[in-house]
Amino acid sequence: MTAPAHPEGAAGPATRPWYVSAGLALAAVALLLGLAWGAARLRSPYPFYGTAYPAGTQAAPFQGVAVQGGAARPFAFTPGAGGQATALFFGFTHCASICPLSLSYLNKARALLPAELRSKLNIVLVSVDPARDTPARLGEYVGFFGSGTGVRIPEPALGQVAQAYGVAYQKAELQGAAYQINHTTATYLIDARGQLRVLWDYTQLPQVERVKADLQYVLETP
Amino acid sequence: MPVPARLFILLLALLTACRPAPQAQAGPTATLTVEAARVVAVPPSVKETSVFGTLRNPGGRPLRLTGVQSPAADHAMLMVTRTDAQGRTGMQMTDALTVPAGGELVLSDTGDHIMLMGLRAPLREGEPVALTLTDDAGGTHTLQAPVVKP
Repeated sequence: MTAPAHPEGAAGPATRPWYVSAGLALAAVALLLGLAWGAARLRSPYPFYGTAYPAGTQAAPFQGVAVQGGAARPFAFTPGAGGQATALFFGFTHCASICPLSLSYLNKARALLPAELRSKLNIVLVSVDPARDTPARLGEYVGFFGSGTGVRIPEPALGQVAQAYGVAYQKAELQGAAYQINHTTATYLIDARGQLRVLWDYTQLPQVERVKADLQYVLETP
Repeated sequence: MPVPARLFILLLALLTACRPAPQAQAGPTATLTVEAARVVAVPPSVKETSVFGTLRNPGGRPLRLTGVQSPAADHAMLMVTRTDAQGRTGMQMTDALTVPAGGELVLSDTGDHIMLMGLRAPLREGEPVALTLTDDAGGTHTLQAPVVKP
């Protein structure tokens, strides 16, 4: 293949070579796309898999009793204390399907994290059934599905804590069997600064890789 | 109404009348196959758990399951998962779970499943739990589901 003798058209004034024009056009498009992407990122800095909270949403502290170091002791949850993040879930031990799976998936997602981040995340289960859930029972339950803390908060304090997190729960009688509790099934992620960052519904938890990506982002950027 | 249409309707009526009425028959109807059946492992102090898996109905008629029993539990129940207007999710007993003709029914924590209440002994991981499902045609379907930690 030979190069054309006259790259510029013989007629008319000398124009820019076509490839320069094409390059400029491409650069303009890239710049526009970059600006659009930047604007989108400014509005939503990280594309969470779960539902993101507005920046600066402070998590509520609470107090209860939990098994710690083999004995039931007062447990005070101070969001972000010790630079720790917390995955907080409200459930109960007579729960036959949702709670075991939620705890199990959260533990699996945490296990996928780099080792140095794993120790920065606590898993906490608050019981919405304080009438039947003793701290010992909660401790055994949480420990069976991984590691974490099972907290008993008596009424009426439990009602206030639940309200602070937007959790609803209600006793449901079952024919010829022990009652169940219908409850909000979200898991709340609180960062090392004590802020609510994201929540996942229990139906999202099986996607452990995506939950792990959310966890990693929040742990790395408190 | 044109004649062909009348004839057609008459033919339809005749066909409907001639079809034998379905009879409820005792004994097994269609065979039910099960895949990935599992009982959720729970700690010894917990007396209730769930059974998940996929039920398949190769038969030409929907299979309406109306009962379940297990020697491992005092009660076994057919359950549905429901979320109310306040966002509270929970289980409710149901009279029947239907496996569609030539289709499947997935039993899971987010939907229909079987619940075992009053476990008679602590479950051990890996051990099989026997379950007997009954359908509304009098058929029984026995399956084994191993205990699996989720």
